[in-house]
Amino acid sequence: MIGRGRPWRLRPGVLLAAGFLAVVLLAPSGRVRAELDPLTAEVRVAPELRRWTFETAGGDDHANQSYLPIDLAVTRGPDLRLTGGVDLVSSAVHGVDPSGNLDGLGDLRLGGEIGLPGRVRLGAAGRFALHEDALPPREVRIAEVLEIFQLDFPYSRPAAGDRVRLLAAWQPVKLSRLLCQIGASYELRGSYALRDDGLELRPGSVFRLAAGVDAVLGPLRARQGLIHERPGTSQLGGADAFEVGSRSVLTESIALERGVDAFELRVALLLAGRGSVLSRPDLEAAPLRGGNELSWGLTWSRSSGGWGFGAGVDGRHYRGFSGPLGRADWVTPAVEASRALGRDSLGARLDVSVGEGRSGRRIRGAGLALSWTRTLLR
Amino acid sequence: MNEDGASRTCGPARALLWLVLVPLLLPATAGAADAPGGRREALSLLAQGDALNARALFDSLLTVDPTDLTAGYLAARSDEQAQRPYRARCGYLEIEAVAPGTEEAELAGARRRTLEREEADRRFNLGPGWITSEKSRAPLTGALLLLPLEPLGEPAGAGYYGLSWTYLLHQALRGSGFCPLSIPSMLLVEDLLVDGKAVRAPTEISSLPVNTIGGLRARLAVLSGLTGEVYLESRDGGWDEDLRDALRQFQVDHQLPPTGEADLETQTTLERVLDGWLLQAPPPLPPHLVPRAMELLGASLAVRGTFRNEGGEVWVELTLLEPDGASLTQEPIVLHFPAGQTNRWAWVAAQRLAMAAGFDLATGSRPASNLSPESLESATRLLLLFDRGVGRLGERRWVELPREAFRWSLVREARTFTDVSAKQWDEREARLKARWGGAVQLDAARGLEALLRDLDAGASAEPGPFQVLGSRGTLVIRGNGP
Repeated sequence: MIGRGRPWRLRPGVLLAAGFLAVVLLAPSGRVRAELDPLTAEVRVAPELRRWTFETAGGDDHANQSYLPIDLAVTRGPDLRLTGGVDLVSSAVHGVDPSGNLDGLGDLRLGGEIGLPGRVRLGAAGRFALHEDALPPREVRIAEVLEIFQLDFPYSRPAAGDRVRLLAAWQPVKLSRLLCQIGASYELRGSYALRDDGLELRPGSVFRLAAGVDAVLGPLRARQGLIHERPGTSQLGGADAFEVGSRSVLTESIALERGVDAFELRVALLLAGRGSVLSRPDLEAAPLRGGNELSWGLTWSRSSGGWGFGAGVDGRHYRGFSGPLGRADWVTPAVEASRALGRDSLGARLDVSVGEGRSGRRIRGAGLALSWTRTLLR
Repeated sequence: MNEDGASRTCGPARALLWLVLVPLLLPATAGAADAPGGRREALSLLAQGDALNARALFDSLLTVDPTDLTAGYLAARSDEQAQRPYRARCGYLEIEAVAPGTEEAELAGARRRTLEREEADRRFNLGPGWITSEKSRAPLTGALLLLPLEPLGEPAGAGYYGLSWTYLLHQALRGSGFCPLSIPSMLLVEDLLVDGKAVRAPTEISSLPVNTIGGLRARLAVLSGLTGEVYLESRDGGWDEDLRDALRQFQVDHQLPPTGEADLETQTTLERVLDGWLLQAPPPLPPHLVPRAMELLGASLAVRGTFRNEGGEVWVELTLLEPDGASLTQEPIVLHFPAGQTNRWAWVAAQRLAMAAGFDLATGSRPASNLSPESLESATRLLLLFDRGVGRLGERRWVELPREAFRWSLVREARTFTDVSAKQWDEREARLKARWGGAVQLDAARGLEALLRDLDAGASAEPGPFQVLGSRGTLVIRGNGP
């Protein structure tokens, strides 16, 4: 338990995830390899500070957020990987009523992956909220403001239930210049209290299909990916309420290495379908609009003599969605540096975002991310 | 957006864009710009057999980027190709020490072990007369000879504990100012100097199965009968009367019916006897023979020592010797510790040895995991068998090894070396060269992992709960995005 609410306790989702992890660990292939492959462990701490300003009709809203992920990854060879970590998030909103802080929120993450013969990889992952209490009305309003920035800052999520995912991927084609992968996942989403009057939301479970192709095109390495996800029906107060539309993402990345320099161009197109809302007296009729998002990025990085440098620019363009950022465009230039020091690795990244939301309202943002990684075993 | 707003937001944005674009547009530094061409040129020279010029080019590339492990590995490979095995071996040891677990370190370990085997086999094939010849002396290399510790208060040669120390010190001192000498050659020289007979099964013997004529002849040509003479004079030849006689003599010595035929029982006994012969612990080297051993191997320094093991407590005394046999330091290094902590204390001893000679251990050097005395002995026996020439240690030997022994990275390295065929090592090296030389390659495992990560992340951020729940007390569905 961090900061607020009832003490953390063992929940069915945790037990479920522990069961999956046990399956991963006890799988025959993993056991055989575990005797032979060296154990490696790595811990990573990567604090991040971010500030967003968003112009509204009544003035500017400011949101400051700090995000502290702490991760531990243990691997035995290429076929067994276990991860665990916590995300601690603290947020503050100023400029509009109500201003205030939303502290002490966080998630616990657990995950495991195993490689099986025949180029099959299975995984299980869970994300468990470290607090279970609903937010009082004033904090609900703060959370609502924070969620305006959610698209680009996904860990702003102020409250959410447990999530458990089962993942499977297979590589049917493995050639020297072409790889093809397909996979599927199922995500079970636990219910949680939304308001302090006890109203519960149970988001619909999500089924995903994915395919990917890696190819060598002359001096370039290209990767194409397609993910299609279909969420189930979400319930409010124990009854069906709404269904978010299905989503598809098409991604393309092209990488070029030239000695110590590496360049990468990424483009992703998200297509979100319309959702539907059931007719209920407690639901205000509103369209569940879909939309699309085009994001792109160009990065350059250089690593030499234990030092790494990088610079890049990302862009995002939203069309069709409802809400103040439903139609928005912004770009984010960034610079970063890293240094390897024996078993430690240090990194820093600075970015600035500028753009416009609906009705030409300004969006500005800046972020500073630091990271420290230490190899414990190798 | 108004004019003022535009100028306010675009100013910093423009500055940052320049910050991004300028490094992209600026020409890279001379060394780095030359790196891709230099790499291809160096690889081309190496492929053409111009090892010395390739070595020079690898050195230049290492000046630009001293952390380039592949360049370091290929520099050592050039040394090997240029007939400078000592330099190549030390280069390989350094890579193994500074970057354990990397592809380069595994390839370096494989090349080093191959070199050590070839060197020991070559010396073995020179025959016992080699060590008595006045001309037999290796050029002084600055390397360190690690002699097995001698037991005090126990029958000479009992157990493998003294040899465990050789392996542990060898591992800890990789990549330090010392370049520890090859253990297979050390074992060979020690056997020859003390007993006048080499205990070794060269690759051409151990690689031939016992159920072949070549395999039978090779084994009978190295094993001695009760008379002290080898069963068969020459390994060359076919199924002749000499081989039948040798088989009969072997069968008589081992209480088998003297048929002169290589039946299954004879074959099994032959394998068992060969194993037992190869597994005899190396004899202690008397002090007066240490300078000669150093001379034969080209060592500039040697570590000699003793141990006493009583009631689970171990006392170890180590001395660093110069080529004339004189001690380099005034006081020996003395250690006292529980027997179950040998691996850690051997690392401490390596640190003190390095300090005494004015060196440092390699960056990142850590003590090997402690093993129980039984596991340490089992692991050492297996390593001894390996270093006396047995090329492919069968699965049975690994299964019989206590699981705990695999905590020692030296055991895992030996297993990797024996499990991977020479052809597979060559393929791995070719892939490394292609990758380093700029050829674009795909990593099948990473492709699969990336897809799993995509599935884990999902299509995009989901609508947050407070996008669903409005603040006005009624529920409002606001949409898929903000």
